[in-house]
Amino acid sequence: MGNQNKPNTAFKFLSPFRLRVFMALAGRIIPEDREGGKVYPGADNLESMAIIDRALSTKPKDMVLLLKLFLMFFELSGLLFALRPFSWMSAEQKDKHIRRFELAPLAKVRQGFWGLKTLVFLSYYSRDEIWPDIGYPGPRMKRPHPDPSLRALQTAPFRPLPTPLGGED
Amino acid sequence: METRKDKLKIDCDVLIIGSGAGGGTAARVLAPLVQKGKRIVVADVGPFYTHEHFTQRELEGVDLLWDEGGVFTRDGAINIIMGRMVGGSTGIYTGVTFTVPPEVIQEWAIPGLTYGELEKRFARIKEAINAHVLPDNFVNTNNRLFRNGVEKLGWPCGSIVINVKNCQQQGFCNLGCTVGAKQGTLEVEIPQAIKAGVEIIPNCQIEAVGGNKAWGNLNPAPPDSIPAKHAPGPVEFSAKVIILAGNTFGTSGILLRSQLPGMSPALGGYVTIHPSHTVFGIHPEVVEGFRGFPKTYYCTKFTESHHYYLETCFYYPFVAAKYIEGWGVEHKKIMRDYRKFMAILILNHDRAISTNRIVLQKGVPVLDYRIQKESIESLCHAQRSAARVFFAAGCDRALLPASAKVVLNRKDEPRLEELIGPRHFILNKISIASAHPQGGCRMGKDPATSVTNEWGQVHGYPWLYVCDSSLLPSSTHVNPYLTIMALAERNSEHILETWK
Repeated sequence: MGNQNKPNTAFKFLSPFRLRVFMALAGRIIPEDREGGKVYPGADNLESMAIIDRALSTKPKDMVLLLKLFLMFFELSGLLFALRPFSWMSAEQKDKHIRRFELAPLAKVRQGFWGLKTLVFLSYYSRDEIWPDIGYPGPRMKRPHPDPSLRALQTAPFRPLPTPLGGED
Repeated sequence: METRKDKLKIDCDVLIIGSGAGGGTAARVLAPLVQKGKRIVVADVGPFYTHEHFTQRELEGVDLLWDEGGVFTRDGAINIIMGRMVGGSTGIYTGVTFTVPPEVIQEWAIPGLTYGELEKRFARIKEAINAHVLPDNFVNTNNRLFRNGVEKLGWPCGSIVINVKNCQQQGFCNLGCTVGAKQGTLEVEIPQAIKAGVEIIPNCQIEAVGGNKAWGNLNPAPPDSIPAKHAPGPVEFSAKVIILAGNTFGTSGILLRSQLPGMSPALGGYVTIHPSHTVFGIHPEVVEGFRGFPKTYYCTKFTESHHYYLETCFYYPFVAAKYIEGWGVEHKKIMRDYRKFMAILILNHDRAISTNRIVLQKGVPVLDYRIQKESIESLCHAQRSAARVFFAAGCDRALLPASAKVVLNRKDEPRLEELIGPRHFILNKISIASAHPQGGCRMGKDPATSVTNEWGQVHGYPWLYVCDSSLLPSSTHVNPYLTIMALAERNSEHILETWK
């Protein structure tokens, strides 16, 4: 594949481990699907991950630390229920694991999942390429943003996934 | 501009901390003092953007919010949305200019504060900000469907008073009005104050006040914003009068950090937030609620009996996705019907209790708020009402968060009581939001139960005033913008009248 598919944004938060977990989660929160002969892409793509990475890079350090710990807990707790980490599970097992977190008896666990899910929604529905699929025409006024890299995150087209995923740990 | 290490000292006559509905109004009322040789400074923690900055994009709009939209109650259950810029939350509201019901003012029982007096202020302010009922050509399909549904049910449908001028109906009010049509603080009071000689210092975080002084830090201006004329670095203000107008979080936070002796035990307490849901119906026809003016009608059918309002609203794809329960292919397919969404905002007016309060966590104000059982019951009742409006308006599906099913169909309507209720209202799973935090520095007579007197003057501190949403002793029931302005005007006039 070479370098052409590597993201042009160096990830700050998403180490290879966290990127793998987030990709696996995004692929179930918003999976690829087909309807009427059309393929609708999922959220497990690097362009969406770049938005998540950017959103987290501006958050306070203690919040980011909590999220890192929660993501690790989310991934590794799969060993207790399915004898494998979340990102290694089948699609069916993943959905079951997600429901376990969504309806967990502990409010903090539900809150953590809500946060991850919301980040996936942000990373997907703020991208221009998705809007035609939901019939949203986007802004009425074409106006530049002072940070072109932020705009580029929204307008960059989907690309095939590189291997291996992610930056430095 | 390079950062300073030495402390910048600014002497002024009046320092206003915060520039939203309250601070902006205080600046406008006190501006005539400048002609008498007095120096008035407004310091705001947020940047000073003009409407040229707004881009109608959700991802780019998060920098207009406190913590980029990431403020939650301490238990993580409710997301608090507040504007963080010169103009405060008026930069991101819809221009809703509700008049507080008279019974709320009676309940407050503030000495000398009568509804009759406030009514005159409301009328004057509404005229100044061009608040009016929008003409029929502003009613988009989402609003028309709401009116049809509500009227079909025999419920009252009121027209919301909105403060816009030359509105182009772009439909992006909550991401900042790109053409400056919304007559909020950024477009009205701030320009008036600047013209009169009031100095605005954006990006200025005030940490504490004490002895006619305020201390803080001036941060660098973000790109595309108007910078302060001073270099970034530590700053100390000296002022004859200091007015706190940083909202429930900001003002309570400054006073808590200041640890002023003899402060009322009520400080930080009695916070109400109007817990809210945005709920959706799916209509067989295209609605395109994202086009045109988003908010023109409301319904008070259950305000007295169940403590909530239904209002029209509309939000953009990410926020809409966030408010819809579930995930996976089912959620994604629902989003494919986004053009057919009909949207309703539910606002619960919650009861003010002392334990719902702002506290400090590592010096940062955090809202320790537990949603009350009565609010949960109210929000569930409101969801059932919204479902009835959706079906009456012709929707064939309804999406309600406290429901046994993600999607309710028309045939489910007879079973709404069974399908929507508190047992499905799972905190930290469903999305609850608030855009109206109020209280924390409530007005009153008794220092044991209030932080300020009837003029917003902090008990025991004649140089220190409050002019923002934190003054409100209990929920205004309705969107609080106009009430905040009227109280800020009243308090500021008192400062003018008693100026020595």
